[in-house]
Amino acid sequence: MIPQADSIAMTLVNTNGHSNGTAEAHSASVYDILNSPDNPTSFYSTDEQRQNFKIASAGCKHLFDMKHQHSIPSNASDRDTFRQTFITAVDYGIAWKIAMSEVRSSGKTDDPVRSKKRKKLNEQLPVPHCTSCQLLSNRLHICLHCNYLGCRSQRHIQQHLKKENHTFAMDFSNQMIYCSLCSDYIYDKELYDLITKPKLLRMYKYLRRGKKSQPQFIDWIPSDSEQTLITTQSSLLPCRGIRGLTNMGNTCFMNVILQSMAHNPLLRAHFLSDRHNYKSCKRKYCMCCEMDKLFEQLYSGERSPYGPCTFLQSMWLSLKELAGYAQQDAHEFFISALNQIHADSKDHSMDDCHCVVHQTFAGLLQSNVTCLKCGNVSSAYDPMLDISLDLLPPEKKKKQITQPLPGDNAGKLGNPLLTSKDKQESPNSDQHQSFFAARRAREANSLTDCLDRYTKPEKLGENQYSCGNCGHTFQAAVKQLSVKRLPQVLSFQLKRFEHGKSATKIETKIKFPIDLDMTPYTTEYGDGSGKHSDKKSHRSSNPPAYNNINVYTLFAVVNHQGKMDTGHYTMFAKHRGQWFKFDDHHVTMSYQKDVLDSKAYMCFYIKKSLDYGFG
Amino acid sequence: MSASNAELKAAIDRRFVLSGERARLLEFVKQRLAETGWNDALYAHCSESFKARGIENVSMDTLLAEFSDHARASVNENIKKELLVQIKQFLDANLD
Repeated sequence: MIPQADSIAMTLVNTNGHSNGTAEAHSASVYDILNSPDNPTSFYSTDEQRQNFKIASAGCKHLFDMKHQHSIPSNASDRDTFRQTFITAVDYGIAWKIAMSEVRSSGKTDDPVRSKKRKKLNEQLPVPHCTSCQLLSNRLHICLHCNYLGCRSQRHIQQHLKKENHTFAMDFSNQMIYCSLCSDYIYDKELYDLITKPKLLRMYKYLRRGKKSQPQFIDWIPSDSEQTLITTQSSLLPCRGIRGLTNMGNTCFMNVILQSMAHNPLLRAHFLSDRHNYKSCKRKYCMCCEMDKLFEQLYSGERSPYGPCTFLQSMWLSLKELAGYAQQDAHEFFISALNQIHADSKDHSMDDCHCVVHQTFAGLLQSNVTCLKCGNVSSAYDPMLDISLDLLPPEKKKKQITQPLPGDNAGKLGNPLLTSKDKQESPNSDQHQSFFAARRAREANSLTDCLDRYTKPEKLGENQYSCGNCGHTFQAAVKQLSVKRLPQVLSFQLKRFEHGKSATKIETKIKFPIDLDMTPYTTEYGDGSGKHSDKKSHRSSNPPAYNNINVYTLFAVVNHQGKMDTGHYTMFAKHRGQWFKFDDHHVTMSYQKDVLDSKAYMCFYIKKSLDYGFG
Repeated sequence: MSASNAELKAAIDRRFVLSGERARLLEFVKQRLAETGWNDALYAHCSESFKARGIENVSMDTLLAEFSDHARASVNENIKKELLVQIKQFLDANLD
């Protein structure tokens, strides 16, 4: 699998999974370390924890019994056979997956090459099919006690398990374990981490071969002395990281930003892995130290809300304009905090900075100005930490409903007036028009629409651009933005606050997706297709490719309630797959639907597959 | 008669899977469903229901029994039609 951001932060130790089961037993896995009988009692906070731990990492108590039969020697072979059968089953499933994907990638169905490949495939690998009904396509499962293969759709596997008194089976296509005693699928973290996951990672690596290669990373396998250090000098803590922050007088703008950083997998991994330790840092009012302290507090296990007053103090002392108890803009605070953390990092530099802020948030914008006279294109590059998107003001939006969008129709339909006339001639025109109008109005208010507008070619004023190619004379020109290099974490600000004659807040609901494909907004994409207007068609005809390198997933959303000058900030963040709502000290469970229904002010997305290599 | 029907079914099934057509259609449906927000909506529907009564004693079987009808009914009609067309195309090409 393409490494997931979450698993990097969460997985303390990842075994490197040798291909055979015997080798795995030699290098100690995180489970071996945690469950070792030699561990001092101080490693576990309670005796109960010591007992519960093994059970917690097994899928169910039946599988736990199967895996831990050390005490009964006669059953030891059973245990090893089970493990070996499971490994074989996973290997078979993955081998079949690879074989099928090669059939698919080798051309059309009636292609002779393809049928040849299929023939070869049939000889090498037995075709998996239900032993009872011979069918291939009905959710096949492998019995983990004998060599029976059966389908779930017609309950053949369940019948087999019952009849033979067998307990476990594995779903052939997704390697999930089914327990007949629980009559349900179970999640065995240990078997997944030690066997399934390394094999899947190897499969994805194999399938990606030849394509843009992913930089390598090396798993950390603790040496014997490191193991001793871990078990004697530290103790196990239960999962943490959810803690409310007290409002210290209009500081909700800070609290939402701090929570968004605390739930940013890359920042979390950086600070929890002790890359900046405040105890050994000599700087005064260092923002990195403050971040480190924040993470220490949030992961301390303390449940009462935490008041990040030293964080605030350091910010006040670093940035005079923030000092005082006035309400502040969360986005401004976000940018100031990032700059300050960057400035206080050990490894910061002016360009190509390797500090945690730039490794996480830095991207590069390309701005192309095309001279309309000579067609000369001049490019400029701008570093970015986030993208601020304009919203359509409410009254302009009404205009958009009745008039076709200029950029949309001009190219395709020629004269927009003519087409609207044409439509009126058809009997259902009113219905049609209102349908399309409603649809357009809805569509105009999504994050991707804002991005479309952001990257739309924009005509420059008469005296704004002097073309070097036309002898430095002022020429009409078109400017277009695109993203040259995407950051690992993409943060959006939706500009809800207008500072015109009078300051107003735009309350329009902006739809934003859980998964966002940034491919259409990259410079590379624009160069490839040549035409900007293809963006829409890219979106509708090619749904986001989920293995695509430019797909992002949402992990935090900041909301603002109330008016321009008197309001309150709250935020949603995803923690271990679950959404939570953070309202200062008040933290509640939440659902994806609530998150998507909220009127976002800032959205934070993280890349689904991370790029390694810099830093 | 029924024996040869079963044989025919098994043969079609075999070709459907081995030609990679099943995997292709599976991918197609997954993408279209994600596009229409079906996954998110179903997730929200299920979690709403569990909010009321807790998640104890939920198994794959009870989930399927309870939500299959809703899940099927909430699939966009266009996706069903598109899928049907593609399956027919496959059958036309492979049955003679």
